[in-house]
Amino acid sequence: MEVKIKERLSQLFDEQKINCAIIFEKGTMPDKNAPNIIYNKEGLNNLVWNSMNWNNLANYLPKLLGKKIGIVAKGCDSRSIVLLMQEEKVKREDLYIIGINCTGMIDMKKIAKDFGAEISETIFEKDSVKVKGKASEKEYKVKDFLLESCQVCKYPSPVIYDEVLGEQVKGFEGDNYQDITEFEKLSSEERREYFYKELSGCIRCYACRNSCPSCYCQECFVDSNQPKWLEKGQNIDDIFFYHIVRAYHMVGRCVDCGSCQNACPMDINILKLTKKLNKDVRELYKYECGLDPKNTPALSTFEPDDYNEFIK
Amino acid sequence: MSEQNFEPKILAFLCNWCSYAGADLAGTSRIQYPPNIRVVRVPCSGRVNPLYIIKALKDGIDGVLVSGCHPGDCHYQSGNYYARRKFNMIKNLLEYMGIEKGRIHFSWVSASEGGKFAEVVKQVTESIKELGPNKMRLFQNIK
Ligand code: SF4
Ligand code: SF4
Ligand code: SF4
Repeated sequence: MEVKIKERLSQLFDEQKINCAIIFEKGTMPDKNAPNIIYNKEGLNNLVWNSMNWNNLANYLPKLLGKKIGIVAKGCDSRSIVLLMQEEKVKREDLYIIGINCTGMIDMKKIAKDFGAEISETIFEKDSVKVKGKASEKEYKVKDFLLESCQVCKYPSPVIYDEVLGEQVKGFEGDNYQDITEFEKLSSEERREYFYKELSGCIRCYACRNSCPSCYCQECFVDSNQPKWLEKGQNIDDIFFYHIVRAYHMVGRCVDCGSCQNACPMDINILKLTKKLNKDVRELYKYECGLDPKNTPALSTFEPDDYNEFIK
Repeated sequence: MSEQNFEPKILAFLCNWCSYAGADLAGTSRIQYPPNIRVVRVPCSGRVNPLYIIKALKDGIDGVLVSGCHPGDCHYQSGNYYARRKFNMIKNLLEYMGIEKGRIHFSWVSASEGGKFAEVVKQVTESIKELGPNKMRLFQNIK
């Protein structure tokens, strides 16, 4: 896969179909790969493709507006591309999309926990990874340690592309929001306590916002001081405020890629919020975002007979 | 303040064309309703950014009412239809995160419905009184 991607991007650079490309490189830590934007063929030397590529690469598209971009897109990345096209943050004709039929990404946080020691090296085989530490080494199957979002991914194959690599993969067929349905059954008190505990750990680093392709606002509400919506610091009220609003801004715009949660250094389960909204949008407005560029986003349209029961 | 005589502070966003006029009518017709609401007049229910609701709750208001024209009657044709989707989503999200049902309310009140307006305010005040002070403000106390 890695070789093929390199080959194709290299050709595209030669044919001058693209003048930059968004790819993955080996990160500074052995348990992470890092997205990078390259502007010439030489950059391809560092390209890697393995099961640690969970970042949503569509995240970098709005910043590259006007350039001819080559992008390697998993299923979720491709959905984000569609979403950004709908919102006019990227033009289809500026893109060359190399779609990847994605077999799921690995949860390195979970593996680190299981491994117990500091990881000094990771070596990827086709569907497993060998993790090496100072004194020990262990092999993990990717499919046993999939990321939360990958476990229930409905669209692992790209929904939009110029060409696709890899064999067709079947998407998850069950109910991908089952956990949310379960959680909703708890009492209001219990849910409040859950979020209180969960969010108390948030250090408001905003990595979740920064890694999300749908969060491209030039000035995020958290940085606005006119009006000033919330204070700086670790006050739980402000943390709640941030998470409520960030999740709310994702209504009908979240593709369930999990980038936000994976980027979180404090391991906070923020998919619990966006998944709930995705579920409601799907139920109430029969809408899933990022599937067809011709669709209108859920909150940019309405039906006269939309659900009205909650209004007096 | 004891639970019994707790008087909630309620913020009401009323659209200029219908609900605000409805509130006015309630006033000029001398219809009594609880004095707990503080009114903010907005051009349209669609102008109510859900952030306002959350910000109000965060800053310690006990409940929020948003009221606009009936579906089909919006002065700007469709502002309230868009608003309805937004309100539905923010209400679901807040309740999901553990804010009690009955803290945020929405209503359609036309300019001729002074009586309905008073009725709505009565209901809203009752339900918030029952819930007691806003817990979001009191997060520090739950452990
Ligand atoms: S990435 Fe995690 S710690 Fe950082 S702001 Fe988001 S939830 Fe909080
Ligand atoms: S909110 Fe999270 S899961 Fe949703 S699109 Fe953004 S990064 Fe992906
Ligand atoms: S959280 Fe909201 S305001 Fe901030 S970048 Fe994301 S969408 Fe924009």
